[in-house]
Amino acid sequence: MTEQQQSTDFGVLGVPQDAMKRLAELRPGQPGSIFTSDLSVNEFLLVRECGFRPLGLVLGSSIYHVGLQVGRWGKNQELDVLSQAMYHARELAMTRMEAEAQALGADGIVGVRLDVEMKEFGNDIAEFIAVGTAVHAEPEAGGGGVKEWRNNKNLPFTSDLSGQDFWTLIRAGYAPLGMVMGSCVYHIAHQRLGGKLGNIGRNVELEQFTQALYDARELAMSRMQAEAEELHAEGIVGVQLRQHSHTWGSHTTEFFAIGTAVRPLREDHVIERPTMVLSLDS
Amino acid sequence: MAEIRGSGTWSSALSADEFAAIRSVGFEPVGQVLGAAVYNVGYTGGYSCPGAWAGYGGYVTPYRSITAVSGAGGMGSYNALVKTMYEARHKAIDRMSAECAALGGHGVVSASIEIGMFPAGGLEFKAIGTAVRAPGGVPLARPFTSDLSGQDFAKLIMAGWVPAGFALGISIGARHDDWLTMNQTSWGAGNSEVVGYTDLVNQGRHDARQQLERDVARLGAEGVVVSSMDMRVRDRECPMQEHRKDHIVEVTIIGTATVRFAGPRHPAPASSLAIMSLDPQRRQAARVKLGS
Repeated sequence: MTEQQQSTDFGVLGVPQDAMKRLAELRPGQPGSIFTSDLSVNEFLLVRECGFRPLGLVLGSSIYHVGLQVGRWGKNQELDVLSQAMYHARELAMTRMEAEAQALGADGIVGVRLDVEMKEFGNDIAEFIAVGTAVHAEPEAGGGGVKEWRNNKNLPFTSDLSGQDFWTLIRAGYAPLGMVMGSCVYHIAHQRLGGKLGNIGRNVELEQFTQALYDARELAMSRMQAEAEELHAEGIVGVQLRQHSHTWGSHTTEFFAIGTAVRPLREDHVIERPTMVLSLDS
Repeated sequence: MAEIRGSGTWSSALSADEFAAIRSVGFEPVGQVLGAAVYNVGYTGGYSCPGAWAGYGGYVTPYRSITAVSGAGGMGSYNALVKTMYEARHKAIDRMSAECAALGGHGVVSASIEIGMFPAGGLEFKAIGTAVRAPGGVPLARPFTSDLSGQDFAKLIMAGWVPAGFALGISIGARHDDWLTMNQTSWGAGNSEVVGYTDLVNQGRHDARQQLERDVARLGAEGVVVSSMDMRVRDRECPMQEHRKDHIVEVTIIGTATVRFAGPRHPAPASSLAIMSLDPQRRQAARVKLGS
């Protein structure tokens, strides 16, 4: 007899009636230990299920003015002033978010969203914002017996994994250490006039542009790798590669790589076999 | 209302999936409910700017100004407008709850709050949702309201949580553009954080979060699951000093306040099941996205 065959008819068990009774007892009160959370319902329940309790929504933001830098017309090069800007601004946002989590006494921050938004502050000014939910690890989290969830910098771990991915990671015996990112703002060389004229009507690879893309990506990913090595991580999961030109025009682009560095909680990693389903959902 | 109650059949805007989810936890849909309020916003506050300094012969720009948020009140704050925003939304939500109670329901799910221009003038606040009831449950003086879909509602009930109501955190903050800000935003400024705007944005959101917690306490609930956090920025000519601007941020946080309940009859929550869908479109959507 499987679990499903036991009675789970909530109506028969009187569960909705219990819920209404609880609501009828609500009294307006002073704000005490109220938790806030940015997680969706799915994420909220899954995070609780793997043993983490949400403490509060934490957020850090910075309005940043990005300086000017012009690349040399015919050269592929990194625009280091702009790269620095992107790093510095994101770091400000993340540090402030981590400080809020520290103040709540959290073990980690899950579901972090790190975004850049242009608001109506002006050109060259963007808002960098990091939002997540600070969580506290209950004793049974991660299968029990895990002494320390913070990373080697004594900061709460951060993870941009969704609640579902986080649940799967913890069940498989890994713990997140922190978000690692690599960013590179690259200037893509313009084609010379001779080259442009020579390409008319031909199917040909634009080698400079290809090279620029490879170089920019390489720089961004190696920086992300270096951050993961600082945290003594075993690997990086959930990597996203993003490319934006923001407001810089078509020959300047930012390559941004972000992922979550992880470490193993135990030697064996048994991943449960998923059940195959065919959904009747439209 | 009497006609709907008397008729015995219910109408609802729920999809078949939502309907099935709600029934699976023992609730029944009762009918569609609506609450509305049309407001004329005549007095907003914010008519002066506390950031500009009074100097000889007029107002001058300070080096570093202060941020005034609506929650703190004080001269030049927009707290009248924020109070109106709250009042209008609460009226619409309360009227929707009242319709739900009149139909014998215990609460509203899938509720949405819409704001629009009313054709004859004024701002219209509408709250629409589907009322549900727990057969045999105690009638509630204030039925719960939530923007959760039927499926999310069912998931919470299964885990032992029940929504208590909408929680709103609204704040409007204003800041005079001071000398430091203008230096940091000029085209030759290089890489720098714009301290003034960062302060404005942080204080605005902080105040909105505090207002959200107060709203949750007003309901007597234990926590809130935030569904949207929205920030709008605009500028205005400073009312105190010519040729200078102030920046205004308006932060709106909407969430569902929740409360734990546990009866002795509550079945132990089944642990989540890892599934792999055989539907090719779902597996596509789960892959890592490259590019912008």
